[in-house]
Amino acid sequence: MSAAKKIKEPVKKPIDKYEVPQEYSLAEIHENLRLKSLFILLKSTAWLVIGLLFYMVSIASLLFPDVFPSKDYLLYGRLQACSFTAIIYGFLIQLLSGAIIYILCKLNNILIKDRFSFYFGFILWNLGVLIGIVGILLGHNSGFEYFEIPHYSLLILFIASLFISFNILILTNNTKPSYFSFIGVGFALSLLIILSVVYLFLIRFPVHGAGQVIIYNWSKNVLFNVCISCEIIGLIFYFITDSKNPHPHSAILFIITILGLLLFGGTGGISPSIPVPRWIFELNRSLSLFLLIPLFSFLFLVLFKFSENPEITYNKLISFSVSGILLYYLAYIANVFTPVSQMTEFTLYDRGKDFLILICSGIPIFYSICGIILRDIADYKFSPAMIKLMYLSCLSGLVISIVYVTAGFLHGSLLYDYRIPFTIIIDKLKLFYLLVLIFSIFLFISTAICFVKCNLVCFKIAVAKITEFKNKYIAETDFEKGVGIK
Amino acid sequence: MRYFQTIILVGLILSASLYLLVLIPVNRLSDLKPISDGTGGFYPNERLGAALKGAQFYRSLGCYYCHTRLVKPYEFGTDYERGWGIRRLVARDFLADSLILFGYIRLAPDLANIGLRKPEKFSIPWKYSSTNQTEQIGQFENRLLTILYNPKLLNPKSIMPSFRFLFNDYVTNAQPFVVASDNPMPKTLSINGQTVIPTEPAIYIVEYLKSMKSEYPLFEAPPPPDPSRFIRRTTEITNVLQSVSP
Repeated sequence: MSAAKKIKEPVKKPIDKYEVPQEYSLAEIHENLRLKSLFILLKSTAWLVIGLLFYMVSIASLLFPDVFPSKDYLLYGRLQACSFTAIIYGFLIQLLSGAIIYILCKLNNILIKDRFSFYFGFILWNLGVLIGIVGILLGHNSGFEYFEIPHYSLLILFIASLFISFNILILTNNTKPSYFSFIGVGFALSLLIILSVVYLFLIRFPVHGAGQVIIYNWSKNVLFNVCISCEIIGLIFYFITDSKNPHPHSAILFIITILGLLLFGGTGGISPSIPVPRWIFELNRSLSLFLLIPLFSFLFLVLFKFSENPEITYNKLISFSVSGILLYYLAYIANVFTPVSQMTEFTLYDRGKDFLILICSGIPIFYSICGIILRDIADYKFSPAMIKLMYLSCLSGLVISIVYVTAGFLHGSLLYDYRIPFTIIIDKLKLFYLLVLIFSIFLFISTAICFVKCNLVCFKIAVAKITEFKNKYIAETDFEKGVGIK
Repeated sequence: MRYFQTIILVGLILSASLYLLVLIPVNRLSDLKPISDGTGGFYPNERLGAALKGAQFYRSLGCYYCHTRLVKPYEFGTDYERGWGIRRLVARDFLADSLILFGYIRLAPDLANIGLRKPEKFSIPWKYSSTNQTEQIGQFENRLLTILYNPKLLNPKSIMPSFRFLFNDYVTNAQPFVVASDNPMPKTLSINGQTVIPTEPAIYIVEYLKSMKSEYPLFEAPPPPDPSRFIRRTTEITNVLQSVSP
């Protein structure tokens, strides 16, 4: 009987894996996304400029403490905290979540119909970041690097992230290319989990003792490895192909990369001197070695994809971003080896490692997003001079990271010699800080120019919209007056 | 369907990571208890009053961006030789801390044992001018306050910013015109003929620094067996560095 039933069942038509329903035209999607993507682009660029400004001032205050007046809001620690908050939360997370919404809409040919939750989520997010930075300047920082946001603004960010994640998950529901759904879901869930863990266990009801450092390390690792780098990796593949063939070379390798990062992204980061029982350190260290699996699969994917598409739009920018991600993971895994971790703990090495993903990989992907979105929705193309400036800007980001990593090794080796007085060690590091200051000034100027360009494009669009509206209104008024009957 | 599968898969992976790397270790660490110090008290003591408030100011001023408060194990560095502590710090040392503030980068000396640091082990060594213990405590406090007020007075090459905003206005005739009425420890500090009144935050920070004492002997962190070994080792490292440097 059952066999007969089976025979009677109509044979299911094999569905094309990458079949996309053509419900809306590309023009309609671009029209729908125009204001939304420009809103995110402008806000995130503004935060990047603000973050870099804070960073420049903090380095200057460290190098020339006498130049600055003795004010609590001009202290190196507070300015650094403000700079990281602006760059991570204001710039990167906002840009990446906006970019994933943009890509999901384009991949699935769908429109964002719930404008309220979209705008409300992002406006609330920006408000949270702004309140957070003001709070840090007033001295309400939490005491955890990269999570310095005061508890009240962290709560705002959490509510905002609920709205943003809701948008992403709703769009992911309709995702046809299955691989991209992992990026969207991974980003949304990890963001929600990190914010809630940090709020509950570090800030509102803090765990006493060394447990704090375990929670902090996990949250920081997930923020960098899952939340930020997964997203950047996803965008790299989208921009390599530039939506013509938005699929990685091998779906299996891609899923291994993303799932590997999700599974082992929280490991590592605990330096050998941190006062936790040895088994916790060893467990973290051993598991972080498994990050080599997603690293290699990512490397293969990139190599295959680049060989498939020799003429890739924005290929130099993408190369910068890829190199940033690869170098970050290499520096991350290098810490597994005892000599490296002993030498580099509490040195500038960690700063360099983090900058590889925040600046060296984040800024090129930002330029790519900027270029592609402005081209799609505003038909605007950056001039060759501007693209050159972008390359130089990315290069300076890479230089800053390398300077920090090199300084980290020197810092560590000098600390190992107890006969070298501390003052002399810091004196030797001043040169590196000076280099960082010079390159960060350049980075600031180039991103500020990009910000101005984005504003000009927005202004043009706004003028065009107003003119269009005005013409329409005049035509309608003329028609009502009877001019149109002629 | 695939949508739910993806959410559940990603959620499970993140939860597994959270459980294995956070919840189990934190739960195990919660089993640690303070130990009796033999005089009816316990180690570590919970910070109360001014020291606790000082920790809040230490956090809010972002001191941990330059200062660490963690003595590394002997085999991992030269903290012992620099006089930053006589043993490594372990999880038990931080049991009473609601704010750990380990610090991230050593751009300034470690402060884990600053409350017990000998004058000759400071970045710029100094000496007590008295043998009286109470006077020595006063001199120690004054030293820390002077560093806070203007580090360049003691070390012209210092990159530490001046925390003058933590001190009330000063005048040269030794008659301060601003005195905080609710100052718990009213003090004056004479610097280069000028009188300075530290405000509450400055006093609290000094109290917090004085409370940083982590040298109580613990079985899980024994002192180095043979100090000469470390001196030999650091000399070897120095020789290697000198041969490498141009």
